[in-house]
Amino acid sequence: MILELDEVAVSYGGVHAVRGVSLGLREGALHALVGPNGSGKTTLINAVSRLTHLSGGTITFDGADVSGLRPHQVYRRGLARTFQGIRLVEDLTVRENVALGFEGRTPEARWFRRGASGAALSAADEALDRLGIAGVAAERPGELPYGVQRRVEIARALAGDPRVLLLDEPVAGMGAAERVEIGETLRQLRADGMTLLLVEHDLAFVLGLADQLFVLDFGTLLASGDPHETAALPAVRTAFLGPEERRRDRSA
Amino acid sequence: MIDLFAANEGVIAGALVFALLAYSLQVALRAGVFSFAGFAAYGIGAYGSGFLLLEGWNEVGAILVVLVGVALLGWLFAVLLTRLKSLYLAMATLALVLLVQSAALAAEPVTGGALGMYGVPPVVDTLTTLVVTAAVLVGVLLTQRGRPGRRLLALRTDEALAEAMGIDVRRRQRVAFVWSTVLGGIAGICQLSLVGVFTPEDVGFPVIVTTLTVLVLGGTWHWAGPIVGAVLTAFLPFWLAAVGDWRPVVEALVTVLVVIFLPGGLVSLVQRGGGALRGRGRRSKPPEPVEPAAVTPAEMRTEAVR
Repeated sequence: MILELDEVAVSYGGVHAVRGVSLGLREGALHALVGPNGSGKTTLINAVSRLTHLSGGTITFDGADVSGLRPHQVYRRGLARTFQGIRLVEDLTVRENVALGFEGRTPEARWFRRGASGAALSAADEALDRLGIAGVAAERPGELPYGVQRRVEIARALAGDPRVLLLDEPVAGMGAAERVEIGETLRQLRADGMTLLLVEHDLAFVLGLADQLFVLDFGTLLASGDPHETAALPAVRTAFLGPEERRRDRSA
Repeated sequence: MIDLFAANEGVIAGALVFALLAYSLQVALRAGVFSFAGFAAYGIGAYGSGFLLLEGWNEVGAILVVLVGVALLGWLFAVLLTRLKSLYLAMATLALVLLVQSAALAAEPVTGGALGMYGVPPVVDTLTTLVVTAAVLVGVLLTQRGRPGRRLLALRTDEALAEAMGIDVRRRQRVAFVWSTVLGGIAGICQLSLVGVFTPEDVGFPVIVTTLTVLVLGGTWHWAGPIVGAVLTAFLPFWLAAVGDWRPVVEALVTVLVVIFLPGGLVSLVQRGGGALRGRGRRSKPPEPVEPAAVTPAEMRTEAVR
């Protein structure tokens, strides 16, 4: 396992957002973390990327305990993420935004080295090309459609050449065609050997993509395993669709 | 040119000190730190260098000791205070400024109390201050472009994003805080030398308000903003001599108009002019061949409309 969570817990005051979650990501596999709204998915990946403090448990990345590290430290070790909402720097071009991802892996002492900026911009062009949006490199993010901004965020994460990529609802708000394209991109990244954790509440989207499914509900890990088998479990169906009796009433 | 410099030396010296103070504020702001600690360092720099020089220290030794001391204090304040954010941090650092002002009033045997510290042999002249300000300007320019500029912009825009992109936000902000205090200290040393007297009133609200005006008028985020704003603020009273008693009203009006219509300061006016000229030049050229791309912006917009 390249990333392992052991009894991870996150609490805000008296609210227990994540309660003792244990799971592991296999190297080179595409995992999906699903659950209804408010189940603790984003809180969990905030904890993994160290943006949120742990109330308990440990996180091991590539054999080392990273529970006490800060976000920039886990990023430099090769754990990148995207955000649920668009978070791009409006005053930078798309290319410069993506270059930030490459530069994050470089020690700050090398910022002023000759040619360093050029290397970052080249890496940005490569990542944009990989996402099929090389044509917008010189544009400002705010001038682009939502779906393209989403792809810019993924390109920024890829520019840092991460070993594990956490994607927080990357297809939220996208049209069907764009969802298919993103799905293809994720398959390609897996084929390239990258480990992925896709956070989604759209079960249908991840079933055709993921190698392993984790289901979160009320901050606890409800089930995990083969995507189709796990999705068919009564407890998972109840979590997503409501109790059996209510479903029957609705269909009647 | 030399005659012009000599005739306006006093005004130029004042403008340079305010430019240094504005850089002190800007360096912190660009890292997302709203700190007035540079003004506390301004007072410490002036009184500290004055005290050491009156004690018979040599010029270089006194300046070095004061700047190292101010940097250490800056680091200590940074560790204690950068946990605070925005207005809370501003208020805490403002308290430091008031503390320095009160200490200057109370420590009369050392600082001269309300009458101020005077009789200190000058260690810098206007030309030296000009060179120091130019060096600071170059330093700020270097951190505004390329990789450092991008990363500082990301940090200022979205701290969580910056951290998630590998930027050590806490360290960056502490370093900015220390630079802010060092620049404030330099401004204090220069002010005492150039004017010959430093009073507790020099470390107070009027100086903070004038420095904020300098920054807003010139351009809060641009490397040239502090120098443009300082020159304008220093010379505006002379240019407005014809309006007599209405001068403060006109000055206030100019500031309000700039804030409303030029939020990027007067520097943004020059940038807009340059952009328009470049645009005109580009339109007159024949279209250049475009490299093939998987998706062009135009195609994407069409897709979005569909």
